[in-house]
This record gives sequence, structure tokens and C-alpha cells, in this order.
Amino acid sequence: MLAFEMERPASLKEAFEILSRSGPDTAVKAGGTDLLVWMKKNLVHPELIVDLSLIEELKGISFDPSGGLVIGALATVNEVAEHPQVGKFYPALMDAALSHSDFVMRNKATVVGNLCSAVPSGDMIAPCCVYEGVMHLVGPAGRRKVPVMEFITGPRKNVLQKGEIVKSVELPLPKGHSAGCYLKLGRRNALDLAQVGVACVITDGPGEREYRLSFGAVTPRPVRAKVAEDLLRGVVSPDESLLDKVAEAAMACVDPITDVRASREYRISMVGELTKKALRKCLERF
Amino acid sequence: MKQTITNDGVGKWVTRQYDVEKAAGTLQYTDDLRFGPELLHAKAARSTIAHGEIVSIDVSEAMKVPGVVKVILGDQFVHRFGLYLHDRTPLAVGKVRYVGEPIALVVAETEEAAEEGALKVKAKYKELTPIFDPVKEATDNSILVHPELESYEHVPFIVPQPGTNLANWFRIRRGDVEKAFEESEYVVEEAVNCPQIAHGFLEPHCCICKEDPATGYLTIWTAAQSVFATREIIAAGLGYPLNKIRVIAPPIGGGFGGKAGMTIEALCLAGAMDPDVKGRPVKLHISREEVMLTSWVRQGYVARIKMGIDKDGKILGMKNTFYFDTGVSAEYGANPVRSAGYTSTGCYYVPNVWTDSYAVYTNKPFGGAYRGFGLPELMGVMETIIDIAAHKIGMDPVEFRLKNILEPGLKTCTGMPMHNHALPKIIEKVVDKVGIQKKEEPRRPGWKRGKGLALAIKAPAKPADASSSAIVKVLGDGTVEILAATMDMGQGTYTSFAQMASEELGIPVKKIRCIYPDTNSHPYDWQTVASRSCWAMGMAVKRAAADAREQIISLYAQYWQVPPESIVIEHGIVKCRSAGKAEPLDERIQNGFKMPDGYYHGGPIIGTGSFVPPDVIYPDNETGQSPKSVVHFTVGAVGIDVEVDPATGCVEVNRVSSGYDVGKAISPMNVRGQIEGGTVQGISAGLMEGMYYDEKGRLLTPDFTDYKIATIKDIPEEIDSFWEETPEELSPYGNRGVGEHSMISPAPAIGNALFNALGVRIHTYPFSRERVYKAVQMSKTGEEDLWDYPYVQEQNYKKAKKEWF
Ligand SMILES: Cc1cc2nc3c(=O)[nH]c(=O)nc-3n(C[C@H](O)[C@H](O)[C@H](O)COP(=O)(O)OP(=O)(O)OC[C@H]3O[C@@H](n4cnc5c(N)ncnc54)[C@H](O)[C@@H]3O)c2cc1C
Repeated sequence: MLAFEMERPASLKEAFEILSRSGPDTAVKAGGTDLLVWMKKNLVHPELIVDLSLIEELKGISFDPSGGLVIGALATVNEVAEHPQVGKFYPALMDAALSHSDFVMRNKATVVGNLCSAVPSGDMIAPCCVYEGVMHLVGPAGRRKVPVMEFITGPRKNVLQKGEIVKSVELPLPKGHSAGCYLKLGRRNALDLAQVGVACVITDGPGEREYRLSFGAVTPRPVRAKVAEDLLRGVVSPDESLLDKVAEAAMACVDPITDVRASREYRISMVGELTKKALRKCLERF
Repeated sequence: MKQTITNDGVGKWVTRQYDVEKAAGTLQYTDDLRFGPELLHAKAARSTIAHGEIVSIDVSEAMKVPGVVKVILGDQFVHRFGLYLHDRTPLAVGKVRYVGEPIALVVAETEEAAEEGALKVKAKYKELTPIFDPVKEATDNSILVHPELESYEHVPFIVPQPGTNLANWFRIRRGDVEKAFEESEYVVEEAVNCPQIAHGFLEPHCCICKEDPATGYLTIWTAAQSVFATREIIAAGLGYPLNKIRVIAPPIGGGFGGKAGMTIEALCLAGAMDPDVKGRPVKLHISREEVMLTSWVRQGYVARIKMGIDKDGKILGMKNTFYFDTGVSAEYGANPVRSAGYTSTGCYYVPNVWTDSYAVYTNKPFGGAYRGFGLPELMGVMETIIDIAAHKIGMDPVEFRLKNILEPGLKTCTGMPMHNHALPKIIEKVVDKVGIQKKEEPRRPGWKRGKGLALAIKAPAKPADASSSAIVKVLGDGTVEILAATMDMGQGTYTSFAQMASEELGIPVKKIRCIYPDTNSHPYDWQTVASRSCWAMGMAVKRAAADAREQIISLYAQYWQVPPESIVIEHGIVKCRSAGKAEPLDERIQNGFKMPDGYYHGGPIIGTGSFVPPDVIYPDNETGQSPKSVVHFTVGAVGIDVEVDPATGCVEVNRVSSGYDVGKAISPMNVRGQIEGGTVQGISAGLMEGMYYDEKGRLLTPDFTDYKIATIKDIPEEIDSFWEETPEELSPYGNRGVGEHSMISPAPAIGNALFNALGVRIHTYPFSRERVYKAVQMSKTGEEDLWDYPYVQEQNYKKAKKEWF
């Protein structure tokens, strides 16, 4: 790793001061589990790192039944996995958190960092999409809210402007009775990036039964399987032939690449298989 | 009569040496050594292309980086190194031959400056066509990786073929195979292939080199398995006398063969011996990516076996063709090719044999030693094809194996008579424990369950004259120090040596310590490889300890004026019951005894022992025949019970049972550890490991993000390990090697279990989820054989959609 400088501001205000006078080769750091790896591999060479980890305003997770779950930018994946309301109301997020890396890494890695990295295999992305998450951004020009689906604009790309950071991600409480799950397929049972991830949520909402499906590692930008979701809308217990149709529709809305982790063809097949598995599991949990 | 009594001797369950320090984190590895501000750091700049002539290398920008002291290029350090074949230069000279080959070594005041310097070295190349497919390159030879092969020095038992890409060609010619095929009722011909795999030890290579500018003496601290082999290879490569090189190996964090021979030391020396470095120590600590790219790998292979079988199921003839992908260097990898070759009929008796085992150069990282040394490769093929053959002739695979087993007295493919062993009994136990012949319902609803068996065999693969020596010192406090230059890299050899010394000296194990190797203090040992240490070095340790015991007893006999036979050493106390004497070993052992005549006798007790195998003769280069080609074989069997999720291709191992004939378990705790560990490593290799390249020869699996190894969540719930003890004749206590064997056969056993579960034969390792999923799909259409030729994968990859736009 090349030499670099690091600042550790104690407040958001101080962080913005540093960011406003820093040059173009500046990176903010939360857990650093992506950033440091990229630096070690010489993919990025920041001259200055602004470490957010001392900033109180970015810490913690809060839950409010009317608003939902607010995950601060410094909340680690383990904090999210262990939060009682996450287990109760956001099981897809909880599954995803527990599928992320291993226990030691999860003590450092943050949920928001995972979304900011915008790597298509990021395990937090699909669950945040099915829970219709919204990113809270703060920057020199003020505050704004951007849905996760729009926040990520491509592989390793997001809408953040220079000097802007993410304060938190908010996940509204699913309306009515709900169930969810996240299934991750990797090359082994732990510590792998997803070949395919499938997040599924079922809610009984104020109206009819609704299904939401989103996939990881198979599209450049976050995706919701709208056609598949529509096929299922209002159906209380889908039969196998409907599940097959849903799987077909799911496979049609992804566009994976071939890399050393899996071929495009295998990934497409797995979107179908895992969609069916995820739906069955959600219905079991419902 | 035995004159020692101990509770910790050979065969006892004792706790392991150095585990306390490892658990506490206080054991100092090479990277933990401190050299103060004198220390310089080195980093290699590496080739970005797989094959090309070096037109120019511009180091001017690198030299401008603050802290950079020197950039050394290949033509400033032209030395060829190699254990068996001198085909490796530490820095590319004139040509680059693989992506990742060092082209320059940047030496700087800090690690960061060295790295920045390395990034700023700019090279221009005239690209040459790279070659990757060993079968094509072995037969075509239109592009040569080493056109200079003829000029390379090599040992006589390696047979390079100048003008081709064959770095070694090992042959067996025994009987008449063609006639055997004609006389056979069935002829089965099948092929299996496997990519390169990597060791995945925890500690990346690290070394520090220093030259005394006044005398030229070199000191090397390094994470190496074999200090003396490192020294010899460096001495031969530099044309240096042995006595001017000192190699010190602190504890190493795993090896598995990956730190055998000489690895990065010569590259580091290119820095340390540079005149501008002026004798300062230079440290080279490579990253995981560099380990994956530029240290040994287990060679990939494509192997074909043709078998002729008579109507009763007896194998009459076997023709083997093995192409090993040795990458850019065969300096070490030439020998696993030979080892697979001289064991090329596996655990079976075959009267007529024709084997061609080739090491083929390609433009890839280079093959070398990896646990099993040619035998996981061989048995990965053999045990698959034996299974196929059994099914083709309609015989139960267990019965087919037993029918052809290499019974004691029958000749191996090299013509050496097989010694006594308990393989049939081990097979019986494994078959019973796993219920190999029983069909059981899957434990997971909707999954498919299958069981498979595979046999294992391996001899220590080493030169006929691989010798060992040891020193056993008894200290003034009654404790013992063993100087045996074996590296204990986790396998637990130091505990075994301590148990041997305890057996011979009657001193408890907790008072015995083995010291990590240093060529300046330790007597010679060839290498810590080949599962040879408890056997060969064990003999030296036993002799040295017995020598020390005889010295102690004779001193006490004189001191007490009693016959030596009346003395015993019991738990560290020297006793003579008839004379009513009992005294602990104390400072008199060091300073001498005041004898009844008033004079002092004795002085520090130092026992010594040496050993060289007395009766091995190299196989003939033309026919592979020899009266005794190897010292002994260890045989065993693995039974495995797996389940497949047809929706994903995910394979879970329910249970595995592995048994080996170890002759004698010196240290049962370590024998069990070796069997369990190797079984897990074999399962990991079988299920997920592989090194892959793109069409330009760039490694796609350079780190643990993409080179996957089994975690605790991927290993079976039940690992049953057991052993039989048929004594080995020459051995110190009847023991045979067991370090590598457990790695040999889990992978083919899984393949056979998958066939049992799915009815599809997968001919390509590993059994990754994606590949098994493909097999599941084939099972639906009734297809029976899945074969992914590894070297067309690069071509598929070339055409694939690889990026989003
Ligand atoms: C061994 C290992 C295993 C892993 N396994 C997984 C896995 O299973 N699944 C998975 O999805 N990922 C995995 N990762 C990747 C990584 O851990 C995650 O992406 C992690 O959640 C990122 O969070 P972080 O806090 O470490 O981010 P950092 O590395 O600190 O930051 C990541 C990126 O986000 C930016 N950033 C971070 N916080 C903010 C903010 N508040 N505002 C603006 N920008 C910000 C940074 O500038 C940087 O570009 C693994 C990584 C390692 C090293």
C-alpha cells in the first residue's frame, strides 16, 4: 500500500471543513473493509482519507414504528444483524447481514458503506431495495434524500457529489403483516461474494398481498422484478406452476456477466431457482 | 533389556510442542524479526504480459521516488537456480515468460517507497505468442517456453527433451501392453483433468538477506521448509561455497510444500548482494497476490488411462499418458511428474504397463511441491477411472478394487516387490463405516445422496541419497535439546521427535525441546518434504538419543561402580536398583562426574545420529524399472457420503472416513491431526479449488476473494480417521510417512460419490457448484459424462459477456 494521510474528524461539521479544503484524491472511510482492500490492490490511491468513525451523529440504529428503521452510516453489519427490530420486521436484511463475510469482518463493515461501494454483489443492496430504502445525504449544498434504487447508478458508481456523504439509510416499515428472506449463493458456505443474491418480501399491506423481489450480483444497477411481482400480486399461496412462471419472469429481468465466480448462464439459472426457494421460504415464514 | 521408562514415549497421546506460543501469539515468525533502521525493503515490479522479449525497462521514474535506493534488473543478476533442473532466474533475463514474472527489484528505505517505485518501473516488450495448453504444447512444440533447455543443468533422474516444451519425460515400460489389450475382454479408456491449485498457507513468503561486504558471507532469515536445500540451491545458483551461506528458518506459518526448495530467497539476494546496498539487510515480504502468482502451485494436468481387463475382472494391462502443466519452471515440478509416473498403477497389480508422464512448460506460474506430490493428481485420475471401469464391466467397485489390489510380494510398476500392508482391512473398515454399498435416503429433502470410495498410495518422493542427521544435547538441568533441521510447520514433527527422544532417554517430553533450524547450528538434513521426517530424520534422532543414553549410562556405571546393564533412566531419574541408587540428571551431566578415583570424567553429553536410505536404486530412465525404487509406500482409503442440491449444484459432505497404514503412530495426536487436516484439504481441493486465467494468461484468482478454500462451514460434520500399524522394516519404530497421504483421495472419492448420486461422471476437477449443477441438468437428459477441457475455458471466457455497459 502506498503512503497516505488520514484525518479523523469528531463531528460532521469538522468533516465538511476538511472535505471542503481537500483535493480530488480524497476518500471517506467508514469500516474501511472495501477502501483498504482497493488501496492495497492499487485500484485507488487516495492522498487523504477522512475517517468518519469518530463522528457521533453517524452512529447507531433507531427504530420508530411510524417511520421505520434508520441505520446510521457507522452502524456495522453485526449491529444490524443483532438489532431486535431488524430480526422482527426486516428478516431479509437480517439474513443478508448474516450472509455478509464473517463475524470478524462484520464488526467493521458498515451497511451504508456496502451501499456506497455499489458493487453489484453487495449483500445489503437487494434487501434495501425490497424494503424500499432511502439514503439520507448531507453535503455542502444541504441535505437530500435518494432512494437506494436511484442512489446506485452502476457498478461502483453512485450519485454522491464531491464533499457529500451519506448520513444514514432509512427503511420504511412494511405495511401490515410481512415476511422476508435473503438467499445468497456463493462458491462455498461462508465468506464469499454472492454469485447470485435474491431478496424477497411479502406483505399483507393495507390492501391485497404484495410481493417484492430484488436480485444481487446479476445487474449493473439495483433491480426490482416488476413483472414477477405483478404475477404474484394478490395470490395468497402460489402453486408450483405459478412459481415457475415467476422464476421465468425473474430470469428475464436480469443481465448478469460471466466472471471467474460464475458464468452468465449459471447466474441466470440460479436467479430462477433461488427465486422459487426464496418465495417458498417467505411463505413458510409468513 | 530396555533401560528407559517414560510415560510419553512412542505411541503416547501427548500435547504438542510450541502450541502455547502459537495460541498466545508470542511465537516469532520471520516477519516479526526486527533489524532496526538499517533494514531496507524490496518489492518486485512484474511482467504484465505472458510471453515477450524485453525491449527496454525504464527505471528513471522509480529512482526518483524518495527513499528508493536501487532498482536491480535481471541482467545485473544472471543466475539460474533450481532443485532438480536449473531453469529459473529470480528476475527475467531478456524475456518474460508469464504474467507476474519479476522484471525489476526495487530496494528502498520503506515498504511504501519500494511499492511506489515498483509501480513506476516501465517496461516495453515485443510480444510473443503465449502458450497455455499442455497437451497441445507437448505435441506441437512450435512455440518454446525455454528454447535454451539444452543448456540447463539437471540431475540425472530428470529427463528434459531439448527442442520441445517437455521439461521431464518419465517412462515405465513393463511387459507388453498391446498384447494385454488384445487378450482383454474389456478395454476402458478415459481421461480426467484438473487445473492448478494453490497451497493457501497462512503466512505469505518472507525473507531477509544480508551480505557481509567484507567477507561475502550471506545470512538469510526465511520462511522456508528446508534450510539446507535452500542453502544448496543458492550456493549452486550463485557458484558460492556452502560454508559462506547461513540460512535461518524461524517458525513458519504453514507450508504444504509451498515453502520447500528455494522460493523467493534468490530474488531478495539480488537486492542484498547489490554493491549499492552496501551490506544492509534487505527484506522481501510478498503479498498474497504475489504468493499466488509467483510461488509454487500444484500442477494442472490432463491424464488418460487405458485399461485392459479380463473376463474375471483382473487388470491385464495399463497405458497411462499424463500431461502435467508445469508452467514456466519445472525446477521442482519435474519431480511430482516422476513420482506420479513411478506409482502409475496406483494400489493395483498390473503385469503390463506403459506410462508416459510429461512435465510440459507453459506461460503460467510454475508447478512445484504440494502435499501429495504427484499422487493426488495420479489418484485423482486412477480412482475415477477404476470406478468407471468397474461400472463398465458390471462389477461392484469395491470388489473390483480388492480383486486387483497390490498384494504384498506382487510387483509395482517399477518392478519393486510390494511390502506388507493392511489395505484390504482398511478398505473393509471404510466401506463398513460409510456404508459405501448401502443406499440411504438423503438427509435434506429434495437432495440426492451418494457414496464413493477411493484408495490412496504414496511413497516418499526424494533423491535416493536424501540424508538426515541430528544432535541430542542433554543440558545441566536434566532437559534435552534436539537439533534436527526438520521444520515443524504445524504437522507436529517436533512433538514426534520429543517422543522418540523420551522413549530412548527415559526423560519426560515436557523436558525435551526441538529447536527451529539454522544451518550454522544444526547438522544436515535434506528437506522437510515427502512425509519423510519421522522416518528419515526420526532414525537420526533415535540414534542420537540412544547415543546420548549410552554415554549417560556408562558415566553412571563408572560413577556408581555398577554394571551398565543394571542402570535405568526412569522419568528423568537415573536408577540402579541393586545398588539402591536414584539421582536426577543434573549439572554433572554438563560438568562431569567426580569419579571414585577423585578425577572428573564426562563433560557435556552430546549424542549424534545420521541416516541415509541404504538400499534405494533410481528407476532406469528408459524403462522405469528398479529393484527398489522407493523406501516404502503408505496406503489407505477414503469413503465419503455426500448430498447434492439439484437446484444449485451445491454439494454437502455428510461424513467421511479415512484410514491409512502408518506402520506405527509415533504421536497419535499428530497422526489424527494429519489425517483430519489432509482430508479437509482434499475435500476443499475437490469441491472448489482452481487457478484460472484469462486468454492473455492473467490470473483471475490471485487472492482469497476468488481463490476459494473450504471454511469450517464447508467441512463434514463427521470426520472419522483411523489407522493400521503394519511395521515398516527399516523404520525407527516401524513408522511410515503419513503427512501427505490424507490429501490424496478425498477428491476422487467425492467424484465417485457424485456419480453414485447423479449417474453422471464428472471428468473435470473441481466439483464446483456450477459444474455439479451442469451435471444435474445432464442427468435429466440421460447424458453420462461431463468433461470441461480446462484450456478451452480461456477461449469460452474470451467470448463471454464480461462487462456491463
Ligand atoms: C474479507 C471480506 C469479506 C467481505 N465479504 C462481503 C460479503 O460477504 N458481502 C458483501 O456485500 N461485501 C463483502 N465485503 C465487502 C465489504 O465488507 C462491504 O462492502 C462493507 O459493507 C463496506 O463497508 P465499510 O464500512 O467497510 O466501507 P468502506 O470501505 O469504509 O467504504 C466503502 C466505500 O464507501 C464509501 N463510503 C463509506 N461510507 C460512506 C459514507 N457514509 N458516505 C459516503 N461514502 C461512504 C467509501 O468512500 C468507499 O468508497 C467483504 C470484504 C472483505 C474484506
